Amino acid sequence: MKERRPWQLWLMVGLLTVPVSSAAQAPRFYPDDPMSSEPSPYPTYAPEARALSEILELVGNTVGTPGERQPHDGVIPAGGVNTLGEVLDGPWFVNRHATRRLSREELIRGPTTGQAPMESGAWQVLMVKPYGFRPGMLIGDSRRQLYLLLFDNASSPEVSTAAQVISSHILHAIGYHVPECYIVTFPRKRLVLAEGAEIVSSAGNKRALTEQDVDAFLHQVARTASGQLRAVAIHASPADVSGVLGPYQMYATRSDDPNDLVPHEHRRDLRGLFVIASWIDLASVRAISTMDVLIDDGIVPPHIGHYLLEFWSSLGAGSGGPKRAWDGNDPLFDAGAALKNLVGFGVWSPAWMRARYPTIRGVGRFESETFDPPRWASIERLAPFENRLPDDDFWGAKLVTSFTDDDIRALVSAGQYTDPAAADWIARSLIARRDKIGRHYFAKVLPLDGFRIQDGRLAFDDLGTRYGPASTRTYTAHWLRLVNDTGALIPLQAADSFQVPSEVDRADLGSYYGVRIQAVGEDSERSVTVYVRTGNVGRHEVVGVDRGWPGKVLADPNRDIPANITRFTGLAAEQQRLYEPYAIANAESRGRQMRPAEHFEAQTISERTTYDAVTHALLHSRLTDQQGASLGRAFDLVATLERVAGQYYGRGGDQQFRLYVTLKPGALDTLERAVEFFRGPDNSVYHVGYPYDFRQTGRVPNMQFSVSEDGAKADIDVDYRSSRMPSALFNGHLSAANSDVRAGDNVVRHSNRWAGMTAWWRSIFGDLPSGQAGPRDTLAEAAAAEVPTPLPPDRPPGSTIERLEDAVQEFLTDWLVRHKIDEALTLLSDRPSACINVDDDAKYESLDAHGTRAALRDAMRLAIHKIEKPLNLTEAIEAVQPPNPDRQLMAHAFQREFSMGELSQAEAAEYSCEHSRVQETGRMYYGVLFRFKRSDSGVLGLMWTKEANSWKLVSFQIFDF
Amino acid sequence: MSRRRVSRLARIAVTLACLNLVPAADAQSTRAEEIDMARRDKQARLWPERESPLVRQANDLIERGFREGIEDGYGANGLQFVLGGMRSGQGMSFGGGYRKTDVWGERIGVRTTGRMTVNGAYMVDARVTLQGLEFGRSFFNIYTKYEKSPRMDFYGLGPQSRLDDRSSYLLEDLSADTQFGVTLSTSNHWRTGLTVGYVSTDTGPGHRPNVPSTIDEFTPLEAPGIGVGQIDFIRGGGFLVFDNRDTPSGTRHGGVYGVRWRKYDDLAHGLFDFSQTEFEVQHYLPYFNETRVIAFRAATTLSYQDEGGLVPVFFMPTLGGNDDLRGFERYRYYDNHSVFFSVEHRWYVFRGLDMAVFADAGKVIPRKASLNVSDLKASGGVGFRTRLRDAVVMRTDFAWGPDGFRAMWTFSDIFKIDY
Repeated sequence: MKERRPWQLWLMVGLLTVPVSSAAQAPRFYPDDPMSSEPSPYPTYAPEARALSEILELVGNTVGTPGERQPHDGVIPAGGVNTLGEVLDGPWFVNRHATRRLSREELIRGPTTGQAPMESGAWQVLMVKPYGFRPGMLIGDSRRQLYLLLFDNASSPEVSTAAQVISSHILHAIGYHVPECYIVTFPRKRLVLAEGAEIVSSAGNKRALTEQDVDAFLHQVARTASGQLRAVAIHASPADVSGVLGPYQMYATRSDDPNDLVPHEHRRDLRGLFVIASWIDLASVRAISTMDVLIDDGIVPPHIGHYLLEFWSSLGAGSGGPKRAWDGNDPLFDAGAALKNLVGFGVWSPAWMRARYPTIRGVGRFESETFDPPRWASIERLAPFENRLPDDDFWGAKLVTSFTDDDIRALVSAGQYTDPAAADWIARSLIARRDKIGRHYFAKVLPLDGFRIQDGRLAFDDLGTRYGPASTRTYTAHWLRLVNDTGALIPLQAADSFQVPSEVDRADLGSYYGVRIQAVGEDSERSVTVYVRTGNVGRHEVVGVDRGWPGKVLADPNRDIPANITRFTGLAAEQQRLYEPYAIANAESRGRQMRPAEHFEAQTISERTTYDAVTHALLHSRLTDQQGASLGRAFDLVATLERVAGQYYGRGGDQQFRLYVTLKPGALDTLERAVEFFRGPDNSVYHVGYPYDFRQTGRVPNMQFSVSEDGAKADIDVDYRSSRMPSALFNGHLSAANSDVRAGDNVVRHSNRWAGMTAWWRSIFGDLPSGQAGPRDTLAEAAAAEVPTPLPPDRPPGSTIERLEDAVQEFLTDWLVRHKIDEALTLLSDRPSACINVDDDAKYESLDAHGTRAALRDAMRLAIHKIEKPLNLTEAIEAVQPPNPDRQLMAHAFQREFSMGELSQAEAAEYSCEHSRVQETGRMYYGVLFRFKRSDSGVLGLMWTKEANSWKLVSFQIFDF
Repeated sequence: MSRRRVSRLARIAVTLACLNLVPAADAQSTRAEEIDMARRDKQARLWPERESPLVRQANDLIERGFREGIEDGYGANGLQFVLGGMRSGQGMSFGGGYRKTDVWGERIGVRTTGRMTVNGAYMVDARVTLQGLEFGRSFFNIYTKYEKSPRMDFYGLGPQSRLDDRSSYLLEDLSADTQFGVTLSTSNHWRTGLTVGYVSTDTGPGHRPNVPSTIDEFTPLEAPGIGVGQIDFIRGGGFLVFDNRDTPSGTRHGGVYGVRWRKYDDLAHGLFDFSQTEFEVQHYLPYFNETRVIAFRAATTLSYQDEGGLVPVFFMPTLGGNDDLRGFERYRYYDNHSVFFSVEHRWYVFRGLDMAVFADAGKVIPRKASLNVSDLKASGGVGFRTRLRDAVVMRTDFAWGPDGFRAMWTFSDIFKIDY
């Protein structure tokens, strides 16, 4: 099987309107086609915020060609659309005006929600940024809502503020997500300094803000005739936005967003944005002017929304004043145009250079006379713009032309120009530019839309009737039968009119037909194929539209992708042999036939790296007995591979980054005899079903075999971080990253012990930050919003505490919240013991009372140092639920903070490395489990019992994965 | 992470998703299920978004005033790599600098640089600006510099000096000047101020290979001030200027019209007491929406020496070189007075480049009575101006004149004014 191009994903998931090659088995249409909106998003947990650079983007898009571009041998159609070619409602776009006409009031209201800054009360200035990227002022109004205030340049009043608001209203009406923008006019005295307000200095440093700073900043901005300040207030704290994640890129997808599936350079809403941006002359459209936000409105799961953010350089506005004439007409560098200008010696000049602009307050450089839609150019050559096809342009033009003259005048009124001539000029220019867009792009494809079955005929709207000679077109129709499973189209006899043929009416329900529409006397390749699904008694439904144009050839979706990601062939022969039967069986169980190499390449990166690393370690770990006789290699203990566990967000560290295998007969005995492995405390909490713990001797990294009771199966992983206390609490040893060869410097550690490991994934994905691979600390991030569990007052040392949960809470609160270690340790038994690792190997030592007390004190100190001083216990820790569902937990008041359960005598014995010896009989022991709210924290267990009528902490343990 | 790598990452990640996604024919029965499957598959492959350290560095540069530094010519805050900025003719200069504009709550800005050329010239300087005043309508700054220029050219005084008489001298100067002024209108177009400072000069034999030393070729009267050792001056004066240019570098519209008068007092000998008045007119006429600019410049410098006094060569107005008569060698003409005219027709090539054709004309004269437009030396040529944002950061001019062809490559704009 050949590997597929990224966009083929969308061919396979069927969100395209083009016939799928025979290689894909999915039907052309599904019963739920055409969808109008994306399904409810998958939750996105704790996505990372990251910035882009204005400079690097500018250079990269000028000298490079980032993203996947249209191949030479065909075209890659747009994605993110339904079978009608319409963009799905979702986190990128919501169809508005072109689908359901907005009223004049709705157009004027735009993206605003009535949350303009309150005019009553002062506005607290929180930050002023006079320099650098996005100069402006952050304020909070009397409702404590945050707004970013952006002003006009002193020499060009109203130009930028009006442009920002008008364009945001237009883009909102079209369907893009944009921020709420309000034009506000206010006196200087409304601005007061907030406590702790800051200014970003000209050197990029923050310092305390002064009134003089505010005045100096405002000295550079425009004022109204009455001396008031006019600004755009961008609402910076909408209720449904819980995090700002930085701009989205104009190519590829977000790697941390499960809902972001279509490479951005192939999204129709971004390709079609070219036409829309040309309409409003948004020359500065670029990645850096966008924003991803985490939306958590409580209705749908938290997910990432994609916003267009800045329209500061639209209409007649440019950077800090009127547009430069070349904005919108010339990209940063166009070799052809530059050459003409060079040799033209200033004599040759394109029309845009000679454009005439009015000198009306607020207009800037915006006109329609020299506007040439296909020659319009954004400053940066964006991948989606470069990839756009005639049907993408048609989509954009259709949205632009959906606005009537009155609609446009209503939208322009949102700019609140003081001079009516400015509003009139802007509106007339937009109307004329709209008409030019319609005339140009509707000539490239058949401009037919709104297909429907009406009175037994296929009806449609001809958008070309308003725009030039297209109104004289005559169209022909040819009906075809669609074999939905293969995409084959079979012509129907005597079915050459728009009347629905009788065969279609008689067809089984759910049958599919196509109608190919062409214009008489025009290139037959300029066509539209409309797909109809049959329904009851003529109630047929249009389910698909496919537009054709001269020269349209779909790119071969089976073209090879770069082969340098192949890794299977790089594995050792034994690694391959172990994998082969697993791959074949696994593929067969899924009803597929795949070669082992294909199967391997189809696994996730973490699955492949885990397999590679663990088997590599097994191969390079020799076993010997006490007498030095060889017992073979650790690899030889493995009979078959059952499963490769890679990275699974949300699962425990004991279920990630490991191999599940069957062992050869006698493997358990070999492990017992091998001096390279030692038996650790039995797994009592984690590794459910694999209780016997064998760890490799020596310093980290070392392998861990967790073996089933019958000795037939094991899970095998590599620990890369030291389990030495107390650092193990926070070095990632107790997180999943401990076993992820990609995390931090794990691969280096691996190579230092087992030579020959190739970090083949690095060239593709780079390294993960240390500790990154672990399950996201979503609870920790949600903690701020949690209502803390009420805590009782601090009990004096020596107080009698009746209930165990109260004693545990007292101990933990004294330790983590009050930072009173000595007071907390009054709850420690006089004869505590512990089984922890205090040196550099993997062995756990049994500590006496003195050692236990010292080790616990060290751990407590480290924890205080590592976690910010929490206000309450809820902020500091969270309960850990043992993965074994059979374990009974006790209900108590602090079960969000720690879990509590009774321990068996055997389990109690393991706390002090006394694996087999039963503790003092008759005494009840209880285990307490929790973890710190840090991504690198693991699980800490405390063992309590009652001594002389007082609850005492008798031991503690870290739970290894 | 490089863009290429991001692209590749995404391509591969999604491709891999595809590979593992290929559904059995009956795997899904609805479009929603297919999307769900694709999401599920991607969820298993999530990878944290990461920010390239390069992005952080680039953004940090912007926040440190990179843009503003280009426009004012002093660079971003922090350590700087410096190109150019020394006296013409010493070779390509380079060096390092440091700038901090937010000292004492942004009341004070400082910049210091050190630069050198491979020909042995070097310069260290420091500028302190009281920015707290600049936020109002007053300005105050201090500039001090030491510069050693071993390849200063001298061809003799007057408009009739000969190219064959080329000589070379060493010029060292240590100076400290303060400038205080106010803007006279709310638009900040009018400004006036006073300057006062100290400058110590010294001269010696030049180091230009195969060129004789000025000291050897010219007498003290033919080359006043050369070879007489250290001369210390107190200088002071005032200026008045109207400046409505859109930007000081790469100007597209507006103009600057100014006059400066400065008096030099020779502290040791009294022999070199003199004063100078400089008139400067620059006007920029744009058309075709500023894609074309016709730039005019007229400048004259008049020197007034006391009875029996002399103007030292190194303070005389000169013509010839990268900034005025471009078809003539650097410092081709020296004398007490000068008059200069230049016109350029500039046109837009792309955002980062303008071209220009230009014509220069001017002369030096010993007496003010000869101040007219007859017998002007003239040259012309074509040039390329590299722009970063609006500022011209590099200029390459090719000029032809009676002395032949000259190619110039410099990191400064033409038509400067330093007050």
